[in-house]
Amino acid sequence: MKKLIIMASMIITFLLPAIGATTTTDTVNEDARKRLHQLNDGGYTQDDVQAEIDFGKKLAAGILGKTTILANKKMNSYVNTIGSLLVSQVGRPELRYHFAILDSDDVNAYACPGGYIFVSKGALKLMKNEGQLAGVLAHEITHVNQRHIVKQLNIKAKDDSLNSNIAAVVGGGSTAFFTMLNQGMDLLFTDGLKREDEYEADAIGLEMLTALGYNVRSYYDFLEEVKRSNEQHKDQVMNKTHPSMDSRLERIKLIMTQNGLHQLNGNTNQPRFSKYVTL
Amino acid sequence: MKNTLVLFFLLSTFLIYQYASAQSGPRYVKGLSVSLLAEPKNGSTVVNKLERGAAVTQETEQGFWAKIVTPQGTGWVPKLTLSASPPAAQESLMDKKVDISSNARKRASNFTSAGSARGLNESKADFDKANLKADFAALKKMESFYVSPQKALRLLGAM
Repeated sequence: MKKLIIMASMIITFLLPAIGATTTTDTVNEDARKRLHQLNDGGYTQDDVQAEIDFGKKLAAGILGKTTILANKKMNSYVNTIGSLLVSQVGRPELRYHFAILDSDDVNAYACPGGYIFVSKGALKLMKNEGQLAGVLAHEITHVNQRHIVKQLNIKAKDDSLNSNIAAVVGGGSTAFFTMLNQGMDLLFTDGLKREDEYEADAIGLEMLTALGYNVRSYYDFLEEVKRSNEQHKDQVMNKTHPSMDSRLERIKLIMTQNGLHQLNGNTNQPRFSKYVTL
Repeated sequence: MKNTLVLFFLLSTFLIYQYASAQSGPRYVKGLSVSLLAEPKNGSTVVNKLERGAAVTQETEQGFWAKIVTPQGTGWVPKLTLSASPPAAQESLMDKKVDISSNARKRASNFTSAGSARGLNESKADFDKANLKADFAALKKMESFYVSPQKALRLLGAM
């Protein structure tokens, strides 16, 4: 018995560091680091979030410098309400999400950092129900939640304590700030986000629709409709900034099959959609 | 020898389990008034409603769903409604001044970003100088459409 106890002690001594158990010193250091940088979800500080909102606001103003908001308060309020419904369950609690309909016949949607989201009148015209609208908004909300533009442009607050040599400080009015804004506009209108970011936005968007009880198939149907529209209007298409619609549809179908989403009878809320979206 | 091996196996299993539990850590409810469901599917019986910020323990997951244990009961919620850290309070740009850093271009001097310190309208001139057209009045209009998540939940019951 004594031999066994000695053996057990030796094993514990050997195994603890091997499996990376946290020591008291580690905990103290970790706490200090958290206090120092005000870490929130994902390692971003409050100042990083502020920087993101500030940048997103100006990028949104840039989009509105190109295209006006559709003059229909009722319809804009409806889109905001559906967007906020999604946000109520799956949004980043530290952000205020804003939505607007762009008065453009192009079929498109855009997401700026900080929660500024646009959907075009052309896209709404193609939609048949609320499930489809929720699908498009969920895709755009995911771009915000996953910080796709923030990561691509490396938008963060200045952190004096890091003495980082990669962080150049820019702000409103500086040439560098506008270089970054122009890069943001290019990402949205010309270059597009990374393909994997688009696929991720589709995948998490489907998960959001499920979480909110929407019919997931609606989003697939909408993208098929966009694909058909693209073939007719090759100059006004969503895939200026997105990967091919075929590859997206294929991946969405796979996710739906893997998660048994074909069998779900979620909500489409078609009557409510028709009441508010009158184009 | 046999006893030692059995003991080694049991202790390893125990320690790895403890470590895995510590790594997954507590989960927090991120969504507002999240329904705790009896089964991992929409339309299932609602066991209880969970408030934002509630700490829960995740037992297992299945597809898009997580099985959690809470003081209000055990049940399923969408994984996306949980987060690894407590939900942060909403940020406001009026609260503080922020510097933005980026690798877009290196610059030696610090500069306080426009949104907080100088006001968005003032930065329009900067946009013009940079040959970027911006419409801050339209931005304000967009912000005026804001519907809070709490209000959205209320409205959709009545719409």
